[in-house]
Amino acid sequence: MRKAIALFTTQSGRRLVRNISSLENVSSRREYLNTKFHGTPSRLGLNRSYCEIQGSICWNCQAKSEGKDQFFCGKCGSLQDVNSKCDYFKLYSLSNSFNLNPTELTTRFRQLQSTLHPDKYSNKSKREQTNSLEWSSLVNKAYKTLSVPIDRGEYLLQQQGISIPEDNSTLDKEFLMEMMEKNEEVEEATKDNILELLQTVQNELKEAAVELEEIFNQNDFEKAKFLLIRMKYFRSLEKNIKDKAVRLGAVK
Amino acid sequence: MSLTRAGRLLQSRIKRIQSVPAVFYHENVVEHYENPRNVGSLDKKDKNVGTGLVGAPACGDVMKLQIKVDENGKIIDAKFKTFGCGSAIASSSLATEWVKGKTIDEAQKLKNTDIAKELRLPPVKLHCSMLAEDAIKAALADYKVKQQKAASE
Repeated sequence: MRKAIALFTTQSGRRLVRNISSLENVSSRREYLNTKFHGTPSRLGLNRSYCEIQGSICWNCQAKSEGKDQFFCGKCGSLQDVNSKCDYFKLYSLSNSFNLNPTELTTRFRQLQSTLHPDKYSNKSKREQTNSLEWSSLVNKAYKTLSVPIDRGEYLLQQQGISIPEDNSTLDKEFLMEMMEKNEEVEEATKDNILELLQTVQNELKEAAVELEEIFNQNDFEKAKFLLIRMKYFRSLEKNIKDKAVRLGAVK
Repeated sequence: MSLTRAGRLLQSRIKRIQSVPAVFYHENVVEHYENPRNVGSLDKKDKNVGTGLVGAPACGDVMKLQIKVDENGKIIDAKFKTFGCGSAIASSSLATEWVKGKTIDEAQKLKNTDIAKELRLPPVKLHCSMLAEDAIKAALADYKVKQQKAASE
């Protein structure tokens, strides 16, 4: 059974494995992370502890963490337990700001997965296997959040203790009416004008994303909240248009 | 050899079963979603019609619920239009069904928990039933304002 699992996982993750599989010991794995990722560790924040676990004790060798590495024990090199309070930005060694370079994020995502993916741990202890699974899924979750401007913005607001409400309290009637009418327009749309509607809403979203960046630069979180709410409505409108376009056969 | 293969096959079968989404909508939700009752609009300028327009910012849902009240304070018609998830549509569909035939005082007492119970909504979807309750309340408030206005004229 064990063999079967190993076979299964290696096959699905072969693309991610690359040459890092040869780097068995931890210090070389860490070095790989540092050098492969734009060279200078300090600029990338790898000298800082990017997901504070300072003072925690390694489950394997009981060595005290020096806070240099959130993943591996500095002494025995075993993969540490997941810190569920881990900040997504810190996990990716990015500063907590709305502006980010998408290419950098993707590169970093691949770097992280190539050291943390469960495929690397099929011959390791049970605990390390579980830890790798948890780290890997956290890395995925963080990537999903950070790569989408609306979700990234919402995450930043959450860190400020601001959440987007589920109830009706923050919406003004005029805006709701506008969204109702736009949705009705979509309902009545035909094959001829549906793509035009899609273009319009996508432009609105693009403009809003630019504005959102400015607002976050000014640290105006309350204003960001209201813009994010608008953007969420536009995103759901965009989804409705896309669904309709498929039903009408305007897109494949 | 064949044993390993069988094991692998079993493993992939198990994986596939496990990959099925864990949360299903209850059949009551699906029923209302597929056959929504009372979809449409009433004339919002009519003084006997109350319109409630509400939204859930967290998911970008918008819901309109309208009631038509006769001279005895009884709700004789209700319509809704919701752009949102299945639970939001089902909640508003059920709400229109329930308020029809009730007096405005009875409708005022309708609770989101009743809707959630009937539709067996999971905790993450409870706000959809809350939205339906807000919509009813908003429609009733709009109707009352209109009536007062009409009375003072």
